[in-house]
Amino acid sequence: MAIPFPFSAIVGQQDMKLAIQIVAVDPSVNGILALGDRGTGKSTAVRALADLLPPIKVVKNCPYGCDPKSQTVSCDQCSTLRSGSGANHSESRPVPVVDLPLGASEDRVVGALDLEKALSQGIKSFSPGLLAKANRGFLYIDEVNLLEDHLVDLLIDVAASGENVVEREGLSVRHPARFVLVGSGNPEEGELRPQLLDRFGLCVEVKTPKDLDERILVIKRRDAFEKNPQEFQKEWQQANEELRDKILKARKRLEKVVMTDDFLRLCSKLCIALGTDGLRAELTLMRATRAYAAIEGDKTVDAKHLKVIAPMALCHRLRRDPLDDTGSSARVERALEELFT
Amino acid sequence: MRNLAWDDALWGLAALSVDPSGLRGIWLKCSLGPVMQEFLDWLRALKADSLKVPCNVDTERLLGGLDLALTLQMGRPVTQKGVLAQNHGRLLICPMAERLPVATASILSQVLDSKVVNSHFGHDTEPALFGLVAIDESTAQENPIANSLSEQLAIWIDLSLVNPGVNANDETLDMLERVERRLKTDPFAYSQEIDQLKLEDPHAREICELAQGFSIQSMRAPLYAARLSSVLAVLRGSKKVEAQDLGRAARLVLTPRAKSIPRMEQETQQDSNESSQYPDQPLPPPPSPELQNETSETQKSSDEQEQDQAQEQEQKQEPQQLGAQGEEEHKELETQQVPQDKSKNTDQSLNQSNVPNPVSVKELETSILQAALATLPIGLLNQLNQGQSHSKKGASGRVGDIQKGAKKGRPMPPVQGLPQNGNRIHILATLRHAAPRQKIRSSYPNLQTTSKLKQNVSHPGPTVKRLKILSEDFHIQRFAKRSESCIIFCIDASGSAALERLAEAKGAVELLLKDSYARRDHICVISFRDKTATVQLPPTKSLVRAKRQLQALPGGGGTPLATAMKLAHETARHATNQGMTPTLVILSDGRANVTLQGEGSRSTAKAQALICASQWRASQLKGIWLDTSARPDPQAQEIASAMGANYVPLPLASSQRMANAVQSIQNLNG
Repeated sequence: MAIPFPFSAIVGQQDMKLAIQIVAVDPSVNGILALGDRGTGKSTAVRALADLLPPIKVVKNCPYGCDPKSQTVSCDQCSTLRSGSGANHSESRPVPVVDLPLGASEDRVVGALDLEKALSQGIKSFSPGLLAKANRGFLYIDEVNLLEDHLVDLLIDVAASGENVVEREGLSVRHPARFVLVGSGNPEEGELRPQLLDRFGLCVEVKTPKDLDERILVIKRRDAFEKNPQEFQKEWQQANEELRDKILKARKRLEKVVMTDDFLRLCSKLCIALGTDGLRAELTLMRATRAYAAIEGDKTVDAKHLKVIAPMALCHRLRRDPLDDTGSSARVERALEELFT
Repeated sequence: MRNLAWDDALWGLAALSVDPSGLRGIWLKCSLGPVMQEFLDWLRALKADSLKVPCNVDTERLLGGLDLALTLQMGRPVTQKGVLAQNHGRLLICPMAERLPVATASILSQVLDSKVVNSHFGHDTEPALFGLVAIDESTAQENPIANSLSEQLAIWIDLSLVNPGVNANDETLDMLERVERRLKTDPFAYSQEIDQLKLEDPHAREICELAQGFSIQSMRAPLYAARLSSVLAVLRGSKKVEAQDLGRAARLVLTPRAKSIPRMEQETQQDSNESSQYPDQPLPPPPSPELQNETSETQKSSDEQEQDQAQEQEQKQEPQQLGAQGEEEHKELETQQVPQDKSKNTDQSLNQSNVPNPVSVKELETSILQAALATLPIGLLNQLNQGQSHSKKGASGRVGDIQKGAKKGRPMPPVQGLPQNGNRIHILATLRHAAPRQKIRSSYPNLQTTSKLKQNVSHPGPTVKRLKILSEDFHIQRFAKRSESCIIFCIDASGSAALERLAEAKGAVELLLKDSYARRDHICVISFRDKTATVQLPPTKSLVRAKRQLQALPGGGGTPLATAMKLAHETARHATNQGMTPTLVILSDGRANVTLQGEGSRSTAKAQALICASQWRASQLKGIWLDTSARPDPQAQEIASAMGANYVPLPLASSQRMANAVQSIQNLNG
């Protein structure tokens, strides 16, 4: 297994890093869309995630990585796996971060008839696809805006229901597929369908650092990493562990963070002012600000959290005139200003 | 200068050979010929075990998976390792990489980026440390390799500018020989040395400054440049990165990606001189070797040219000595070098003026900047000066079998084929093919083993009679997918199409664009005025870009209708090659008055326009003519009917009405 670039060694990219921490604390925020040019470190940040998060406990040998603690049996495999060996039925796995390549076939994504078993043993069985692999983890799609339409349809459905239903080739399988969708792309090369845009909780813009010294730092760190990954990882282990602790603590704190009605009213006011469709905007805003407050160690959520989170939670949800040039983040900022004056 | 480019290419090749996992690959731009042959010969000499990957390679072969034919024969699962995981430290050569289907290109770039292969089956990942040599044989009009792929390849080499029969420098030949000998005994001989070389702060700064000066956004480029400079130092047998390594690394990595060059003095003057000479070209014209020679011969006699080359050789020795000498001397020599360098790289207009000094870059960097620009051809330098990118705009490498390999759509009869590469098995057809052959197959000896194996597996039923299926039985499903449409707008921006009409036309295009986005159409905009027609916007789905381009559209001048139609036809042909169905929408009054040759003649212009129109008709593509003149003209109607287009007179039309007209015709015919 290749060593990923340590998360804490990533230079700059405050928005992206914050967004990742937020979804790590509360996966129900549901996904990050990172927009920006190639080579700005989007993939690096996402791949660093697996290393950052603590391993999860799963039912042993379960292809979907089900949680042994959950009361309801969510997949057909688990029911047999659990009843079998009694005590020794769980194992720990790193949090899955699955790369979905652009040209992936539908079979590979949703899973298909296991040809191997079908041909050699004559057994009709299901070979899980990438969606199964991503369960309880992250599904990363680079260049999500270039994804083929039929795959987009599929993802929209699964991301909403958290379940993958396969009805094809005489198979009838349903399995859990709850994952945090992480997409990246360059809007200059093609646009995203609004339905898919809406599925992403947060949207951040990733830019190359403008500052020369920052750029040099990027080059130096990356070079050091490539020449000796083990050494470099050791160097950053401390920082990574601190960050992991921070996330774990925030997860525990999350339940206790207080959200006042006044604050929720503020959220709704902002969404109304911006004319966002549906209630998903408010829900995301609520969850993300709460997670942010938990990370910061605050007991209640207030306006200062909203100010940080609102642009990334809302800017991609504004109904926009595709020919209007005014940036949507500028519109969010304006609305925020009006709200607080 | 040609020499230097060839030397650079060979150093780049050697660097990739010794460090495939760090540099990831070469984007080799060149057409089939002696130069490419020689390059590949060197490649084979350095890495005898390099492997050719055809551009139609299937996913199973790349990533690994079940070997279907063998599995059936053996009666037990036989997996094969993918090409990408198999070839640890080897070089993969992909000829005609510009024809790689999007799916394959994105798999390649993902594996190059993550350095691991997720095999098709199972959850294991395997390291993939190969190097890719993507040979791009695209012509100027075609799209180059996919952006996502070229981004991953450190070294960009353009061999189309190298004359055949060029000889490499002695130092280069020595190095190649050394590397060849060493790699034969140990393919990973150099990796340790490379990893031990530390990137020094001033070098990192120089590289970053240069990258920023070139307006390169991606951080991968400076990273690769840094890596390459250490590899080059190791290749020289040095323990320290020197100025020449940095210069060469910059030439191979940063210069080809440059979007602009650091601001120079006399910039404005230069621009005004050149803008008339080098019109707005979206693509860098690859000058043929003969042309290059001609232009240089006009400047100097052939004797001088030889002298020039000799000088070049000298110059290349100079930096070598520099390493040992002090920093101050280094600078002195560098300034001496500057005038000579410049006279070769830039054209006469620059010669007349004094030596341009980069203003916005610091002193330390000037040397590396000079080195970086040493192989840049004149035409490109000018383009960069005008703020145009060297690499093509908007090319996304959307090439290949979009229609043929459709995975959804209207079902078509099944065909024989293996259920691989995303093809779905057609079970009924497979069974139908296998059924009549069962009797013969039961006598096959090696198929009998299947039944033996079967007994080990607990399976319901005492004696299971199993079908014997061989790989030849497989049938796959096929679907016919309607190809994406591409609307080519050909906008008359001449003086006769009065200016306010132009504004309306722009408005109409914007409205259609907005709508086409919902229908996922591609849009392409061509404008024509004065003497030329230009592709303002190559086929794209990006509204942001379309809008930006349209706003900047100027008006006025003659009506070169034939030129525009010719360009539109070419664009349409490329769109068809990419699996799109083009529709041409011409917004014009049809009053052609400029000929293909750019001369003003009403009658010739009209005759030429009619010829172009009949050519369009022969291509059997859809066309719509929106007559924008205040009084509809019979001439426009005549040309429209010659090209078999729907003619719509739209006097006093608003943007909205134009948009409606195009849409209704599209729906009618579609």
